[in-house]
This record gives sequence, C-alpha cells and structure tokens, in this order.
Amino acid sequence: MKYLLVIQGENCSAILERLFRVCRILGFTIQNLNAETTENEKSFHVTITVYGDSSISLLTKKLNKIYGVAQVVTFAQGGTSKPIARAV
Amino acid sequence: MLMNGAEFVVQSLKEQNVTHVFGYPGDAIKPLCLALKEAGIELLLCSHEQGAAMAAIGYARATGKTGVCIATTGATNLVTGLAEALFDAVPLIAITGQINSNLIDSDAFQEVDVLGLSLACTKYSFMIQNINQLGSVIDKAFLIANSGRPGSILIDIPTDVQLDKAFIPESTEVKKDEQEDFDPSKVEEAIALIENSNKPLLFVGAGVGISKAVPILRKFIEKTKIPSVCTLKGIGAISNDSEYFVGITGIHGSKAANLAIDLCDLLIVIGARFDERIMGKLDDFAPNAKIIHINYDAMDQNKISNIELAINSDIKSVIASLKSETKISLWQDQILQMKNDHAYNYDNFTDDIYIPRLLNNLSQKIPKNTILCSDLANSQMLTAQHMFVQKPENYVTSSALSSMGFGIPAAVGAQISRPDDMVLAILFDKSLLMNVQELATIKDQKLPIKIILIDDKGGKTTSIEDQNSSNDKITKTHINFVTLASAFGIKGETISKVSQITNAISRLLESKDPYLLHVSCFNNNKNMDHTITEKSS
Repeated sequence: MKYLLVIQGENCSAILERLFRVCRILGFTIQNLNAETTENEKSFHVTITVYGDSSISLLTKKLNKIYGVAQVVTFAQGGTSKPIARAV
Repeated sequence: MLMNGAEFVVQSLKEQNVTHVFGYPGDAIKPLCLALKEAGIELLLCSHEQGAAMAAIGYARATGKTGVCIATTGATNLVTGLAEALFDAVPLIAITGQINSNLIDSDAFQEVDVLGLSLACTKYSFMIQNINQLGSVIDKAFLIANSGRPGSILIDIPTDVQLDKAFIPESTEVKKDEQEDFDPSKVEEAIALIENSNKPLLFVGAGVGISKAVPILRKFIEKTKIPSVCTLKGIGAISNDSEYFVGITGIHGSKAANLAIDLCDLLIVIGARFDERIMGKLDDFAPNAKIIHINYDAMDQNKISNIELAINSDIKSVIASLKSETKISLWQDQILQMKNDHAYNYDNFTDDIYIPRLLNNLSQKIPKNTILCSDLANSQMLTAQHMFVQKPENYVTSSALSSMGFGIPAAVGAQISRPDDMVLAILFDKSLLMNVQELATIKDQKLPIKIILIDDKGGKTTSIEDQNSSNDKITKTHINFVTLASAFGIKGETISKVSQITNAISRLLESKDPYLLHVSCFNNNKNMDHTITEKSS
C-alpha cells in the first residue's frame, strides 16, 4: 500500500533521520519527500510518500512517539504503486 | 552570569539535584570533569564507559532518580548501557565530550558521529554546536528522560563549547508534558468487567513501579483480593505476603502463574508490555480471557487481538479510580490450590549444592531492604524465582536487553545510591567476565558489595546446541575466580558442597568489605535448571 504522510513538529536535531529510521525499521520505502522549515526554522513540515505492507497505524504511532513530532496525518493512496528498485 | 559551557552544564545538573555522576574521563570531557569537581558533584570514575552507564542505571533503578554518566568519544562503549536504559525504561542522561567543533567531519583523531550512534539506542539525543545552544538543553533532557515511558538521552558537547565563555541566559522554564486524562467512561467499563468476571487476574509489570503506583496497587489488591501474577520487571510491586499472589509469569515463570493466565476470564494488565518471552505464542495468550490494558504507552496493543479495553494514562490515577467489588471465592480457592500443587521444591538429598535452595535460604537471612542485582540467564531467573523482593527498587536486573555484564556495575550504582543498604550481586561466570574490570571500581570506592558467582562454566546459556558438551562453550579455560577477585584486592572463597554453605554465607554477609562467594556447580548442571523445579514435576 502507498500512503502520504504529513508530519509537523519542532525542528530538532536529526529529525529527518529519526523519521526515516522508523520508516525503514517497519519496512516502508520512501518514494517521495518534501521537507521545509517554518517560523524561523523552529518548526518543520514534511510530506513523505511511503510504500509498504506493514501496519500504517503502527507507523503512525511510532512516528508520533518521536520527540518533537507534533502531528502525523496519513492518507491512503491505493496499492498500485511499486517500491523504488534498489540501485545495483 | 559569565561562565563557560562546562560550568553551565554543571549548574544545570545541580538545579536538577544531581549529586553523583558516573564516568570515564578523557581530554574531550576534561572541562566538564573539572567543573563537576568545583561544584561538589561527586564524579565516580568507573573502569569502562559501559560500566559507567550501567552504574548510572543501577543508581537510577535503586533510587527512582535520574542516572547521569559522562564519557568522551568512548561513547561507542556507552551504546549497550544507553540501549539498556531505553529498553528497560530507566531515566539516564549521558553527556559525551566531542572533538572541537571546527574539526567535526574532518576525519579528526577520535572523531565519531556520536549523535548518529545514539539514534537507535536513545529516546532522544542532542548535538550542541555552539555555546548559545546550551540554553535549556539539560532541563529538556531530564524532562524527556522522565516523561511518558522513561529512557536514555545523550548530549554530545564539543570540547571548545565546554570551554567557550558566554553570558548564557537563565534557563527558560521547560514546559512539562500535560498528562492526558483518561475517559471516566472507560474506568466505569473496567469496573463493570471486573465485577462481572468470575476469574479475574492482575498481571503487573514494571510500569507500576515506574509510575510510583505500588502503594495504591497494593491497597487495591488488599481490598479486592483479586489474584495476581507479575512480570520479571514487575517483581516487588506486589507484596510477597499477598495471599493470592501466584508468582512471576513467562517462559521462566512459575507453572501456577502461567496456568492462572490460561484459566482466567479477565486479565487486567497493568504497566506491562506484551513481551514475547512472557506471552509465548501470541495467539494462545490468555485464551479464555478478555484483556484490560492499563498502561501509559499504547505501543504493544497491536500484538494481540483480545484486548477488550485499553486505558492509556497515568497508572496511579487509573488504579485509584477502580472501585470494584468482587465475589470470586471459588477462583481464589482454585488459585491457592494451584499455588500449592506447583510450589517450588527445595528438597535436596545430595551433597551437591542446589542453587534454588541456596538462594531461597539466603533470601530469608538477608535484611529486608537488600538490593539484589543480577544480569541475565540463570542468575536472573533463579533470583527472580527463589528470592523475596520487598519493592521494585530492590531488584535491579537487565530485563528487556538482558545485557551480559550488567550485574557488577549495576551493583556499584546501587551501593553508591543507598550506602546503608546491603547490595547482593548474583551473577553467573560468563557475565562477570564481561565487566570484570568494575571489580576495581568496587575496590577503589570501598563498596561492601557481596557477590555470589554461580559458576557452571558457561552452562546452558552460553553454550551452543548440545548443552552437555564441553566442546561448544564460549571459554574452555578454567578460571580461578577467587584468585581473579584477589587480584583486585577482593576477598573470596569457593564452595561446591552443601556442608560448606552455612559458614561461607556467614562470612559473606558479615564481611565489611566486598566479598566474592564462588559457587561451583559445573559438575551437576541439573541443579542449574531454572525452568522445572516444581513439586509436581
């Protein structure tokens, strides 16, 4: 399944690495990413398109547990998209 | 006020009432070490960074305070301790000294991406890049370490930031997380489930101790007389004198406790995760029961399907609201019968030492407030099964990570935190070897820690496949542990026969200095079995 995640929160150290780590551990591949900071770089706003078969509710819960993350909104985008092929 | 970065960090630690810091010094953290000394915070030097982290965990577990440790880029050695604190929900702050900020990412001497290392083994981590970022970092670190499910925090500070001077603004008050209130209708639903249940069972985990909910839980048990079991980390939360307390559950738990879970029709899980070492096959867990899960954290609730009701809030407030009446005399009788049928058997008709009996007898001789420290495997399970623990702070063990080598440094931290209480470290041979250098810390700090070393020469835990073969053990070398201890200036003796026990235990308990009692049982491995020692078997 393919999902769009909209994540907002406090722009703290290594926040993107922390988000990616959770996606990786749960077996989601990242297909698209847009990240920006707002309010004098104090907050961040990230949209990530992920693909994976694991539980999206678990991914949402785990992302929400990361310190600094204030909100995670998830949109299902159907199951037709395939994961990005790994570079050889 | 003009001060350098190290002085500011130390001032913030003092404001958090930190009195002891465990660590291993080095150039990159020297300014902080000097500032600690000047401020009167006791810096206890351990013999290894891992030992320092684990001593800080022992300190935190035995007191309920936050443990603090320091290191340089030797932070690579902190990783196991940080993971231990994260998995076992122990509040721990690790402060590491990084190379000068202008050298970062230049392959400089002893440069390690410490923040990168920390991502998988801490709850949160900070990298300070200039002195102005120090601000409220320490306060924030303490807040994160202690809020929700506690855990480890790492703060990496370059040496030049520690030395830079600046007028650092007064720490702005860090806003505490608001505790989410629970829905009162959920409590009413829980009360209805309890009152309609014929066979309710309490399943108590570490969260009860962490939330300081032990007294209120004990009152609830006393009033309702609902039978109870606990997890390994929940030991001490329920009084040993509680009539309907069945014992610890899980793969190393008592048969009666596991049977009670199978038979109950309502399982009230308080402050516990659904760990696979407790649940076994997820589909078969509590097959006849509806489950109420009362926990701060909702993370594990996706593991099983029979959760009827989840209340994710402060455990103490939820238990206080559970005003239930129960009529379960038949179930109580059944529990007492099961306890009796599957009680541990301490009979021993040989002269070989039977470890469960030794520990059970020892438990009756030591002061009630003794802190038991164990790490994993036989020493952990046998201690949990056969010794009495009065409160959660008195049992310091490595549970979720089961770190080998945890026992000795944890005992150091526990003894430093509670100098007037006896600390008994119960270890097995391979585990002692993992952090044997901390015997030097025990000697240096003059800590009267009593060590019981159960020696089965690696035994079942560290052997591969065929447990009876001597060819597959990790170490084949015979180690004379008493000589090893004496090299650190610690007295000790070896016993291998029942007839030697009484005098040896007296010498151990009466010693004013650290003492090692080496219990040799590698000639009778059956006496080490911690899974089947019941009367019925």
